Amino acid sequence: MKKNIYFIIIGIVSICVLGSVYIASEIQSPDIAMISFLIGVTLVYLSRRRVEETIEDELTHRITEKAALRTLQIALVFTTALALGMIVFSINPLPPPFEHHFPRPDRIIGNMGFTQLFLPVLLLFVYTGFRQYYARKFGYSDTDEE
Amino acid sequence: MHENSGIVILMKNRIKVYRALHDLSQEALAQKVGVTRQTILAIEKGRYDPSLLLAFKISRFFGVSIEEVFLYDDDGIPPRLPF
Repeated sequence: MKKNIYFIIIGIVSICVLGSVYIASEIQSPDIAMISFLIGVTLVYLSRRRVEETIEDELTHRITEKAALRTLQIALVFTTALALGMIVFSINPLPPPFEHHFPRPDRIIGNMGFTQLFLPVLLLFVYTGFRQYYARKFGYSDTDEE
Repeated sequence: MHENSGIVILMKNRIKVYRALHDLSQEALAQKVGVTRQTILAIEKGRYDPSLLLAFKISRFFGVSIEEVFLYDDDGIPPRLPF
């Protein structure tokens, strides 16, 4: 299994676990959250064992470096926009008829927590996408021998 | 190829030629200089400019100077081969 596939599996498993934790918090059942977390960890562990060990050299480092930098830039923009949005909503409540759609204060912290949990998963997908993009750009995925 | 301040800079190399002269595959050269075959392929195709260290390793392996393998050319005209 290639490393990019492994990252995608981690992302999908994380989304499933996050969904389960969200449902568990809604119906107040910690068992669901715990079981889904354990299943998630097991799946990631089993996937990790199937990842092919690749030789790292300066080109792979370059691809990783470029992908990480672009992901960091997107993370900065995304978190800043999110923070600004939350500040704006806290100062100016939503206009009618949406005024009651803004979460109650006691739920805001919980929602923030889920947003922060979702963010690394989103960034993982972005990072994997950039890894694929730069690998293609530098011709790392080419196979022809001339 | 890089775009730097509007000037197109071409970094060319003759790895493929020297590889053919030494009857080496990409894989064999990659092993000799400690990189992956994909890296040699990317350099040959001009998609990746190697580090100075790798450039020296490759040229030393072929027993020639670095300028004979790697050519810096900023006028867009491909350099002529000496043979």
